[in-house]
Amino acid sequence: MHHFYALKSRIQVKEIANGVETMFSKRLRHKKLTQQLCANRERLYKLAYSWCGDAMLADDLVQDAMQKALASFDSLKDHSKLNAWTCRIMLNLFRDCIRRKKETVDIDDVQMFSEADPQQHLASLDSAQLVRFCLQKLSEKHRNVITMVDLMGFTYEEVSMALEIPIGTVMSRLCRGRILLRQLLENHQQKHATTTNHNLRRVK
Amino acid sequence: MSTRQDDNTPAISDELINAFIDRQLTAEDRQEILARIRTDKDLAGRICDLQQLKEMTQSAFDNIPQPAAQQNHNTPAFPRMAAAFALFTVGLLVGFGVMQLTKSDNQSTATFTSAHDSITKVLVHLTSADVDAGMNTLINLQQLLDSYTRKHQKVMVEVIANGDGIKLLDSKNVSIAKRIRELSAQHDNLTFAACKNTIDQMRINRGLVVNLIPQVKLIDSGVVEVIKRQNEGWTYIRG
Amino acid sequence: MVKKLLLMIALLGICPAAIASHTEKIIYHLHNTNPNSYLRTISNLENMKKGMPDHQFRITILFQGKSLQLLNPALHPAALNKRFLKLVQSGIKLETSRDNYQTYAHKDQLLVTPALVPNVFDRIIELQRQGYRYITP
Repeated sequence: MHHFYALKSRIQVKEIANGVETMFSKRLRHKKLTQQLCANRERLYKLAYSWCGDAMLADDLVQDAMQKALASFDSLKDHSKLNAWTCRIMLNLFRDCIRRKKETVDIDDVQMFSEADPQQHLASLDSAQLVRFCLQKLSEKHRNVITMVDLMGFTYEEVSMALEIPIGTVMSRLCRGRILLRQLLENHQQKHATTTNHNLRRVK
Repeated sequence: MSTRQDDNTPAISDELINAFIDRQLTAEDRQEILARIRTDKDLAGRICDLQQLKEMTQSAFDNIPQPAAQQNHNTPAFPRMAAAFALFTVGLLVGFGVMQLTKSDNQSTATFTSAHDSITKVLVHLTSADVDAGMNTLINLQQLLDSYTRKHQKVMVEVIANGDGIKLLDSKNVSIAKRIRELSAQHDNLTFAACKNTIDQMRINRGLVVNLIPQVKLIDSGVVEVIKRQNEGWTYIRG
Repeated sequence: MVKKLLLMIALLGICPAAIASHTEKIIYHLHNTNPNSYLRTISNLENMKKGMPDHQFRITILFQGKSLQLLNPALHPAALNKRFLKLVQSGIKLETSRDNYQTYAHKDQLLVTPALVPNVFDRIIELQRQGYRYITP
């Protein structure tokens, strides 16, 4: 039994290599691509969440992106580019989403933290929430490269493909973005180091 | 931003350092930087800072709210096998993520300690005599206390009962009494209090006598305490 | 995007702070399974939106313990379920803890599936810190 399947897949691989897509080799290719996609679901979810801060929306984005990617597998020749390609699909879906919501003037729309938050709430964020808050404060172009590299684990080439920008731009945005992120985190620490002590004294 | 060595070797740019921590350099370039780190403390510092920032970014998304299992999605395009495969690999990835989290948590507390110095104060207000709901609250309380211990952060919890909530803290509720005894022993940042006014009223008006669980102390007025704590900025939860 | 929007509003001469303060953030905490809770929750939220028409709302309903079973549509008349769905479609979020979901949800019976958080009390603290007002039925 095992031998038979091994033989079958060898033929299928040979068929793909010869550029001949029979029904069997096509099914095998789809199966491999599906597996590869599913393995990345968790990372795609974190990425989507970093954009919108909403569990359900993030899940919908991932789901829709994966379905769209599956539906147009045939137009993807290079399998190694699957993740970047799916990411690009998801980003476009997200941008469509924002564009549609722009009709209602909702400033807080896709932010996790409202601009109207009084300062004392910021003082008691834990470090994870603080990082997510500061990421949201970055411009989209900086946030996207940082999250794609750190959360998706993309190579610079994959980021370049997903965002449709040259690799040089990826590197300079990443560089600048991380400097800005660090500054935001340090500013917050300075601002709230004294406030926190103040709070402690007052409550006692 | 880049440093100049005394022997006029070319400075290492920020972009090169970013590429180094993101593992985007060729093996040769990587080796070169590794060699430089041994002698150049400044370079080592810059790399360390950047690495820490990267790990903070990654771990910031380890405990975000998750969607429930995918069964409710209408996705005929996704075969069952693929969904199961996804759950399996998610399990692996989450496990890996937890390992990285423990490592980076220690690193992140080193630099950004301000958030960790403050104490989170929580008031849990018991107003119902429902024993099942009460047990559920105590279980959630335990999870809360454990999660703060894990995160190396401080929390203070006050549980206050008035109205029908007093009945919950009667020692005849054996499972509740046991759980409260255990929790009190494990956590000194947890206190239980019952409203004396309510107890007196119950006895006088309804002839009900409540034998409080030993760990529960008496306060004059539950309502006053609830208002006072909210004014002080405590988080309020109805249990 | 936010910066562009704020600039637009500034140009129109509208104070951004005034508009920003019109967003009400509410965490609605459900615990007991009083059968009236479903109707009461729906009425409360509908009335709130009707009573403050010029406000934007960001509402999260958080289910603790058995209250999750309120999401079983078989327990309620269809008209009530329809009203609840309408609220959800207007953007109200539903959340519960992972443990809760595993213990109390009969997965094929829920009208809407909530998002999962690690811990209910942690979530309440987090949201109150973000400026959410805390309400129970």
